[in-house]
Amino acid sequence: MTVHMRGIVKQFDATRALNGVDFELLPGEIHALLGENGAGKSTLMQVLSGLYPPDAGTIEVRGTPVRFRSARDATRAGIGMVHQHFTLVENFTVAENLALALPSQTPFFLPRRHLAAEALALAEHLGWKLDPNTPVWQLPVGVQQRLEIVKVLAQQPEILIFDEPTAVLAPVELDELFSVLARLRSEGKSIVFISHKLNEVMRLCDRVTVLRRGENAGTVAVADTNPEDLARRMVGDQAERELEAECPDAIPAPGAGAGETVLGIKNLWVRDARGVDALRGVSLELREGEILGVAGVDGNGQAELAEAVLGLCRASRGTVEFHYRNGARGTPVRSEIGYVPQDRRREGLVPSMSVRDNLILELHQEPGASWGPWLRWSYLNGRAAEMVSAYDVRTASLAQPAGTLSGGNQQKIVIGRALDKQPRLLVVVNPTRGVDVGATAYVHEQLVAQRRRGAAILLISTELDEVIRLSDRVAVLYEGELMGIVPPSTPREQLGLMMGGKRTTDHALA
Amino acid sequence: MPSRKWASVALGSLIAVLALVLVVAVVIALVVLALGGQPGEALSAILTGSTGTPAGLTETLIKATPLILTGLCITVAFRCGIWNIGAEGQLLMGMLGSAATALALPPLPPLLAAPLCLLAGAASGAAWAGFAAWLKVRRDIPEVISTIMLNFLAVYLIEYLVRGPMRDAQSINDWSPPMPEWTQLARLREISGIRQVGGGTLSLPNGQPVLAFGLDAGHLHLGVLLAIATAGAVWLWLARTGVGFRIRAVGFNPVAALTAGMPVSRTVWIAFLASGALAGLGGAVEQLSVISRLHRFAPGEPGYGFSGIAVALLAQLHPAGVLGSALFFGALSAGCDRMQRVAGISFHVAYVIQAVIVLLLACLPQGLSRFRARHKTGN
Repeated sequence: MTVHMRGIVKQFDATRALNGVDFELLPGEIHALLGENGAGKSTLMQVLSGLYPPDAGTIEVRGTPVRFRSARDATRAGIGMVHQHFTLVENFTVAENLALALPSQTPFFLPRRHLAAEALALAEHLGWKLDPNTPVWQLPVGVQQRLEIVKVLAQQPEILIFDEPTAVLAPVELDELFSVLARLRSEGKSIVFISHKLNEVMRLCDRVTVLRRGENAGTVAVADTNPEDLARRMVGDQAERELEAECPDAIPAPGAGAGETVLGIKNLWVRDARGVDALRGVSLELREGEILGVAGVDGNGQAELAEAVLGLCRASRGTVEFHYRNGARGTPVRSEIGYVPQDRRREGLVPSMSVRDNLILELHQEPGASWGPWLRWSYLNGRAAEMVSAYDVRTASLAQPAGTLSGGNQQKIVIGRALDKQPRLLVVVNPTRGVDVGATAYVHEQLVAQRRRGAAILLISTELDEVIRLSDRVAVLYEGELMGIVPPSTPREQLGLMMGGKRTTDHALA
Repeated sequence: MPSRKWASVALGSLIAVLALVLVVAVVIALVVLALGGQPGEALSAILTGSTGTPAGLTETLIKATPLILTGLCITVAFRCGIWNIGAEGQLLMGMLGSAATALALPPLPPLLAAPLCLLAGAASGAAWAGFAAWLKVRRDIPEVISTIMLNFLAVYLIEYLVRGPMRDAQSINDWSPPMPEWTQLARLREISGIRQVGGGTLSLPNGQPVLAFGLDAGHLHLGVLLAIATAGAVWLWLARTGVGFRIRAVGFNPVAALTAGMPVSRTVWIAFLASGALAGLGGAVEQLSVISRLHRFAPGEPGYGFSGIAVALLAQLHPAGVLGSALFFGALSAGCDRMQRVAGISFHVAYVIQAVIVLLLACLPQGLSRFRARHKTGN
């Protein structure tokens, strides 16, 4: 047995993240760690990788009891972790980031050429190309993850932990990652694969351990189980509801009469931070009561599209026109738009401020929220309390810092804030990234309810399933250009081809 | 629940203050020993000069006044994520602005003249901060660098003016004419006719006075009340208004603030200008009450702006805390003044203590937590 963890307990202030968890990892297996957000998956693996000492319990690695005092101890014991939130220095190049992982190979003068060669070799071994001299901030997220993996492999671990590695990947990248994981397994590495996606677990893994609320809800071989069983273990009694969420029927299309135009984008060009054209002549129209899905591999102009609509970045060419309720037209005003940004912890929340403060981040600027310069705190507190219950934010109190909530609950704050103002236009970017099954279903229900209300929704997502399931029309972005706008019933293969750069003229909706 | 929370906060604060006083006493004793003095004598002089007598308490309040205002200056700026190291320069510009206005005004009723001069001081401080704000917002130039440089400019601008255009021709010294009487902040005695308020002293068994229950109203000026009222106003402003809320949000996470549709640049402008105005007001109060002429300072003097950083950090960037910590540093300063007179130990020991306190705060696990919070995100 490669790893044997017994009775692991970990307490964070008031919450017991791990409550006596047992976990075994065999040589040469891919072992899934499955569970909802907040079930303790990441915490358990952070204990194994030396980031947190356990409050109780023992860990054995290859039969030897170990006590890790730091991540470095774990690295020495042959354990490497690919974190969900990358541990890269953005201003450093690929090779320099690799140097950070290899202290033994970094004497006083940095052997640049050697490191560059090393980076290339490691990447090539996995069938990837990495330019050693590119600064990390210039790389798309998917490529940053490759670097993160290469960095960990450079330390030649026997045990690899992947913390929700698929959260940031598009389908094509996903396939590549899975083949890399399979190759690592064939080389004899033991792999822990943290996920909350049943289909990924079924497809890739050998065994699976389900965590529920900090406890082990069973370890089984994937061959001996099925998605329904795993879902039941994950969420307990509510399994049936959750299962529906995992594979619901396609949401019925609205009456063909989507309403008036809300947003008109014409020939939009936007440059990104590097001065490269991230959007190249995008035109689309969005109407009341429809969801326009924007699919595509991450880093093909999605972020810029959202930011241009929001007015957060400037168009170098083209126009974004918003049609107001009173018939006026003009640049969209932020207060008219509900926005769920891609990176909730950076763009969506002020983690050190309270749940209440985060819920009123936009609301407090509305006319009714203040009396002269004074905020009407009694009103705002009431509204915040309403949102907490309406959007099911699980928090001890309104005063709790938002950063201490689980990812799903943080996302509920961001989404609740966007929906609560009943916006005419809703821009939603990867709304269920890193969110558990229950919360995902919830978010989807909310979006559909908004469409029913008549909101125009721009759903930008790298989860193709999500786009197909929710959208009335699907637009595909590739390298900043629209490859076409097609019905969601379009065959997946065709959508996949479009995401890879094949144009499709729009027959059905022309 | 709220009452229990307040009780625990109050108890915690009391313990913290006692611990602080103990640490400070030990450090003072060590420094005085190193300087070849008598620690007992020095500490006794500090107590007498700061809290032990009505005159000492009054001196403490007077010393605390500019510290309250510069502490608030730093609080507002740091809360907004603006690293304004320029309180000193903004304070000097407040002195200059109020002095120039006072000297330029025709004789007016004091009720009109003093507020005008104070406003001019605040406006000058804001304008000085405005340079740095413009450089930050428009040119992306770090305010740490620009405000430090502006501090030097303020020192030498005043030096130039008091040697040249503003020099008092009647005097052999390089300084301005004295501030006209009608621009001076009224002393309480002049308003109320009272010389001393309260009485009685708490003493140690050996006769060492520790805490007087009275004030020498003769020296106490209205600026003290103004500073305390300003602290209340800043508290309300940060906690209760939309602008205050945005200042705090921008300070913690400007990206999220921008994404939520807040006018981030305008918020930075407002906070930076308000911060400068507070320091400028501190300078004006000092100029119109304690200092009678505008004169030159050596770089680093009078130091209220730099001490404001220590005041704000000890206060955990809370306006009410600023009152307490400014009083503490005011007492230290008043006490060290007396120590110099009585025991012959330089009052610069006060600055040594101040620096030690800031370093200690940085070492405490909770210390400067506000600054770490921005780098740390929970999951």
